[in-house]
Amino acid sequence: MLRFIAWRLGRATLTVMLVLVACFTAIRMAGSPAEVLYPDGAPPEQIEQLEMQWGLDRSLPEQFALYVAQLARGEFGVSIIERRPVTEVYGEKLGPSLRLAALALVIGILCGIPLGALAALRRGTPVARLAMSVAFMGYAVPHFIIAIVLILIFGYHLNWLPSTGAETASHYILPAVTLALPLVAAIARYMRSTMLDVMTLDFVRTATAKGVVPTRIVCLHVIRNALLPLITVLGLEIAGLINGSLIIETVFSWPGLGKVLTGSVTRRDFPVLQFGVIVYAVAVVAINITVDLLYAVADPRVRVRS
Amino acid sequence: MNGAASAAIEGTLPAHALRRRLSFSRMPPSIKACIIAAVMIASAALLAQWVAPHDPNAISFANKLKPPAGMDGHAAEFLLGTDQLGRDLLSRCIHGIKVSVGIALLGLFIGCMIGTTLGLISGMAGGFTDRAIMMLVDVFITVPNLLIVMVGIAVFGNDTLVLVVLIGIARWESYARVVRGQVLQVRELPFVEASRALGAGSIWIALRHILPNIASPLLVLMTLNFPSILLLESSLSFLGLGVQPPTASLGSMVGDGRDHLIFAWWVAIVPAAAIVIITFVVQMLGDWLRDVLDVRIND
Repeated sequence: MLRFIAWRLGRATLTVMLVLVACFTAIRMAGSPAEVLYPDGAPPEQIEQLEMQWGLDRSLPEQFALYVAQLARGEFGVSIIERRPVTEVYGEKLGPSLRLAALALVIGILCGIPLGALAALRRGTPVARLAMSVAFMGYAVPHFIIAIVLILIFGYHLNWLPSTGAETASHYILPAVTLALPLVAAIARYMRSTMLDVMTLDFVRTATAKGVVPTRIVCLHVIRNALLPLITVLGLEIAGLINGSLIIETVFSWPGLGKVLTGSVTRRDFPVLQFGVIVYAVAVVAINITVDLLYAVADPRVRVRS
Repeated sequence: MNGAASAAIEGTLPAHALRRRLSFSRMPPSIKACIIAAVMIASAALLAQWVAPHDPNAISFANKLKPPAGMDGHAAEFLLGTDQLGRDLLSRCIHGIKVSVGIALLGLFIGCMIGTTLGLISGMAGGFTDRAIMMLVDVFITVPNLLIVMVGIAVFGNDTLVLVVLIGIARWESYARVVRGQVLQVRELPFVEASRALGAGSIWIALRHILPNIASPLLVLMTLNFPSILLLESSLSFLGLGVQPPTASLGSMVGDGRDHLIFAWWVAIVPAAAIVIITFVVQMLGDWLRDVLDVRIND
């Protein structure tokens, strides 16, 4: 088990390092921040001074070493446009973003698993077909279209729910549901197929032969075993959730990371963009490690194989 | 991630059986409908210049925000209505499909080229090279691909060519995984061994023997990947990071329509419907192709 954890942690560190290298290279390839600050050109002394200030006059390996050392000290740089630490720029936005993503994840799990289980247990019935075609649509329709349709119906037409901002609890409903729908679809699809696999296994037949009540078989034997592989899928879906939240937050004018990040792309505010990428990459890697460890705890076969 | 690709080579069908399964008359009706729809959409997009009833960028304030046919106050010459600048939505959609699908197809192709090459190298070389490439695959699975493209756009600016290349770079990993898995299987087959015994080199074997044998899983994978690439492009354009105005892409059209949702829902909904229809049709075709070609790709 210890070896498994060490191996997994090593791989994760390598991934994060590669992301850092990519970020660093990308940002240095983009040219000097002076061009961004003074698009019409500035006196050479001023540009030179600025480049000194940003450490751009040294060699690339030197800059990278400096950069990693800075990150390790927790100094993530200063926004070129806003002239304050990026941690500050992000600090106030982190809460709403995290809450929204967590809520979507909870909705996704709570709706996706029963929906998928239902579709597997009642296979061939109209209910199951309906559930799966809804899931299919959730897969093919992008986040921003779901968002617009929901805003149109519940925000403007029925006038039930607010569609911009994050002041009250009801502001969370539309964005969270939008973000959750594709997740519900993915989880339901996956849950259905693993349920169908598990239901054909020998131990289910044995349980039936022993005279175990069907509901007990489903709840105790089938669903429990089908949930295991679902953990892995959840880990992979997190990346999709982040993709979605970047877009959703813009659509709903959510005061979160998404807006800051997309803004930093158009304004070429590289320290801000870079911090966002690092935060997201570390978050995804951390979640995936947790998922793998959970999986190893739940399923001893994984530990043995690796 | 190792068990990702397990399409069975022995499942490859003989040519005559394949031809029969792929013949139009034997297809289920829903697939026939999808193929007809796909052909119609593709030809409309290719012939956009001649098919579109209006100039997609012609502004006419007299005709702004006209609703689609069938609603109060619509204008006969604008079947799907007009946007806030009085541009014909049908024409913009037709041109938008050309732009969006074009970018998605090119991105798909670039991703497939990169992924297939790296997958072949990974599978044939083994050892350190293999581990390094698979490590890279891991990174690309982990980092959300919208972020990869966004960083690229911030660095290189949002030019259409840049967009295409970035989409390709963001979406190569699934091909590398599948191709590598296939190579590991095909490599052990007797005819490859025979070829090697006759003195064939790795590159020859990869291109002459292995590539033709993994064509159908690749085709299926490309079809199944297409909808999500189209969504990536339209999401970027929706955020204003992709295709730049006045050129219409389906995503940027939805983005434009967002500001007029209250009074003119159709400006956003018409291009949104186009996106949904295209992804739906291609997704159906991909699922069908996977079943017909009997390819198993566990994503």
